[in-house]
Amino acid sequence: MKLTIEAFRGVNEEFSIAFDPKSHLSIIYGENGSGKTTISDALEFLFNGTAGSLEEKSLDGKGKIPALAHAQRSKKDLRVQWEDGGETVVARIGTTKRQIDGTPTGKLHTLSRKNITKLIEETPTKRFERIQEFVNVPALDREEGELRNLVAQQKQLQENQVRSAQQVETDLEQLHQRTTQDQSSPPKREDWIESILSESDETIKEHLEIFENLHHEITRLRNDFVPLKKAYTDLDNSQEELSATQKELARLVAESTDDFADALDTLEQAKLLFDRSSRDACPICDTILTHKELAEKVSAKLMRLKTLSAQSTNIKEADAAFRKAVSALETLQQGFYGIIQKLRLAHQAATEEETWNMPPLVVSLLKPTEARHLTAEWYHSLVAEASNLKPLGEYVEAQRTQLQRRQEIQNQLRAILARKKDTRKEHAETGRMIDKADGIARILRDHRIKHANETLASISEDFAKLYHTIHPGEEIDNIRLYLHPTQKNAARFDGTLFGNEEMTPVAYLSESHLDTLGLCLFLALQKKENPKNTIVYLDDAIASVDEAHMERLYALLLAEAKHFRHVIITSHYQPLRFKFRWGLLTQAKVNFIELGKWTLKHGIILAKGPNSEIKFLRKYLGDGDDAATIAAKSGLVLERVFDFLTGIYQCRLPRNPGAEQRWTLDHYKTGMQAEKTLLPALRCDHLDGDRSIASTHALGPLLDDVFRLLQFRNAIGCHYKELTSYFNEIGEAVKLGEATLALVDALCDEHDELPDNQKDGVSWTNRGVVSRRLYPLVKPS
Amino acid sequence: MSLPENMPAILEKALTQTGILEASLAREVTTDLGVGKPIKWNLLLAKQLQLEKGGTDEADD
Repeated sequence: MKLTIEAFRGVNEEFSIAFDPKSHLSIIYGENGSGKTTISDALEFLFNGTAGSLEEKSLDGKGKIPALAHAQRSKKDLRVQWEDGGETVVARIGTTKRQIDGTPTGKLHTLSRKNITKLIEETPTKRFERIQEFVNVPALDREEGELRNLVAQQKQLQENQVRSAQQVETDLEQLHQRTTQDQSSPPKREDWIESILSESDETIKEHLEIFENLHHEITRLRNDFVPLKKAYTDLDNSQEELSATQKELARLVAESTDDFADALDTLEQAKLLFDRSSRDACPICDTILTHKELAEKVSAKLMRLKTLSAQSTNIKEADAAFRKAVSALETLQQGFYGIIQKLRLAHQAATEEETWNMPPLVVSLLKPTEARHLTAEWYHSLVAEASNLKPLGEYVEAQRTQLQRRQEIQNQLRAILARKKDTRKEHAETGRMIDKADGIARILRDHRIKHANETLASISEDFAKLYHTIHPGEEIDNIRLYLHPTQKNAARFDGTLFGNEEMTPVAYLSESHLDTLGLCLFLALQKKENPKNTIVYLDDAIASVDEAHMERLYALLLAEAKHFRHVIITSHYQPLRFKFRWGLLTQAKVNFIELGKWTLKHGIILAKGPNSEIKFLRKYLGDGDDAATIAAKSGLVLERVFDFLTGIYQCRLPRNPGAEQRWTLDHYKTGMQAEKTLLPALRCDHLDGDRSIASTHALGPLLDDVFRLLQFRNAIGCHYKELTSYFNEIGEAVKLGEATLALVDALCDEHDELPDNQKDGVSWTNRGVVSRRLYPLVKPS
Repeated sequence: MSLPENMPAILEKALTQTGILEASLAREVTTDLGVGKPIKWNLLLAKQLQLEKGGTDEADD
C-alpha cells in the first residue's frame, strides 16, 4: 500500500509513503508539524472525500476542500494517489469537491486525539454522531425523520383548520347579525339558526316558484298591454281604410257605368278605323271622325279604366292590411289570454295558501273564457280596472323579495354550517393522522434505540476486555454506552466505578484513562463492522498515555491490528520512537516510519536512519561551509548516541528526566556528566582483521569534548541567532561536528553501526564481523 | 438489506399489535424499509384512516 501526495496542504513536491501490507500495523513517528495529520487528511480526502482535520475548523466561510491545496500551488495541481493490491486510485479537487478516479479498496476510519475526546467527553448528542455509523439503522432513522416532518406538517395544517373554523364562526356571527339587525329583539344565534333551518328549503322553493310565476305573468301582462292596445287601434285604422277604399271604387264604378258601353263602342270604332285606315269617317255611322280625335277619345277611355284598376289594387291592399291587423290582434289576444290563464292558475295556487293574504284579480281578467273575448271593449274595461291590480302586483313583489332573501340566507347558513362540519371533520382526521404518524415514529424510534443498544451491548464485552488489557486490575466495570431512552440521537456513557453504579467516567478518570477508554471503544466499534475491510488511522490519538501503559497499549494495538486491513498509528511521543528505534517494540512485524523535519521547500520528508545522518555530517563537514546544517546534523547524531548510552546500552549512563518523556541534548548531557565512575570507565576497543586489539578509545574525554562544544549547537543550529555575532560560527560548528564524528568513530563500526551484541558476556560488540567491543557491562564499584 | 435481521418481523408485529396499522399496511412498511425504499407516509396513513373509516361506517350502518 502506497500513498503519494502532491500540492496537498504542506506538501509541495511529490511525497510518497509506503505501508507494508504484510504487517498489519504501521507506526508513523514525527515531531509536531512534521506532517502526520497531513497524511491523515490525504487519506481522508481520498477515501471519504472530506477535508480531514479541517472539517472541524472554521475557515471563515471559505471552502474546506479547496483549502487542502498547497498555499503556493494551484488546486488543480493537487493529487492524492493510493496504490493497493495493483489498483491505483487518484483523487483531485474539482470545483469544490473531491473528484476521484477509481474506487479505493476498503474504507478508512480516522480517530484523532480530538475525536477521542469527543467520543468520551462530548455531549450525548455529539457522541451519538461519532458512533451512529455503527449502531444506527439509517432506514429507520430516515423514516422516523419523515414521520416527524409529517407530524409537523399536519400540526401546521391543524392550525390552518383552526383558523378556518374561526373564520366560519365569524361568518356565521356576521350573517346572524346582518339578518337580525332590523329586529327589535333579535333572537339568539342558535334559535335563529333553528328557525332558519326549520323552514324546508323545498317549501321556500315552491313558494318562491309560485310568486316567481305570478311576478312573471304580471310582468308579461304589463309588457303585452301596450301592443294589445296598438293592435286594436291598428285594426280600427285598417278597417276604416278598407271601407274608404271600397267606397271610392264604388263611386268610380258608379260614375263609369254608362261610359263602359260608350268605351266599348269607341274601341270597336277605333278597330274598324284602324282596319280601314284609308278613310276618316266612322265606319259605323260614317260621321267624319278624324284619326286624331279618335286617338284622344281612346286615351280618355283608357285613363278611366286605369283609375278603376288602381282603385281595385288599393282595395286589395287595404283588405290585406285589414286581414293582417285582424291576425295580429288575434295573435295578441291568444297570447294575452294565455297570460291571463297562467296568472289565474298562479293566483289560484297562491290563494290556496291560507297564510297569504292575496289581493284578488279583477273581473276583466276573470271573465273571458276565450281569446276572442278580449275585444276592444274588454280592453277598455281592463284599463278601467288597472288600478285595482296594483295591490296584487305590490304584494307579489314583496312576497317574492322576502322569499328570495330567506332562500339566500338559508343557503348561506347551510353553506357556513357545511363548512363548519367539514372543518371539524378535517380537523379530527388530521388529529388521527398525527396520532398515527406519531405512534409509528415512536415505534421506529424504540426499535432503532433497541437495536443500537443491543449493538452497543454486544461490543461492551470486547470494549471492557480491551480496556482492562491496558489498565488491568482497575475497579472499572460495566462500562457501557447506550442510547438515551427519550432524547433523540443521544448516546450516554457510564459504568461502575469503584463500586458505584452509573458513574460518569469523565468525572473520575484521568485524561490518559479517558483516552484509552475512547480508543478501546473506537476499536471495539470498528471490529463490529467488517474490520478486514477497514483501515484504521489513529492520528496522535494516544498522546496522553504515560510510559507505564504505553507498552501494554502497543501490545494491544499490535494484537488488535490483525483484525483489520491495516492500522496506522501516528505519534510525536519520543519514548515511542526510542523504543522502536532501538528495537524494543519491533519483535512483531511493525512498519515503523519516521518523519523528518517539515520545511516549506521540501514539505514532508521521511527521516533517514541514524547512519544516514552520520554520512550527511561527514559530507557537510567535508564541504565546511554550512554551519547551521553541520550543527543540526551533529545534534541528530549525538541524540542517537546519547539515546544509546543512556537507554539502550546494558551499563547505561544516567540522563535527567525529560519533561513529558522527551529529552533534549541538555537532559542527556547533565545526566551523563553527573556520573563519576562509569563515564571514565567507558571504552571501545577497535579490532583488526585477526580480531586482535588495534586501538582502545576512552569515551569519557570524547564525551567531554562534545559536552564542551554542545552549547554552540543550539546557538548555531536554530536558537539565539544574535549570539552568533560573538563567536566564529563556522569554526565552532566544524569543531562540534569533528568532536561528534570522533565520538562516533570511537564507538561505531565501519558501517557507522552501534554495538548491540552481548554474546561474550563482557562487552557489547557490533553485528557481523566483530570489529568493536564496548566496555564495561557492569558499572565499576 | 436496510434492516437488521429479524427486525422486519418484530417491527411488523409492533405496528399491528398496537392497532396503529392494518396488517397489510404494516407489511408494506417493513417491506419498503427492508429494501430502503422511501415510504409515502401521507398516502399510507390516508389508506389506514380510510380503512378505519370504512369499518366505522359499516358499524354506523
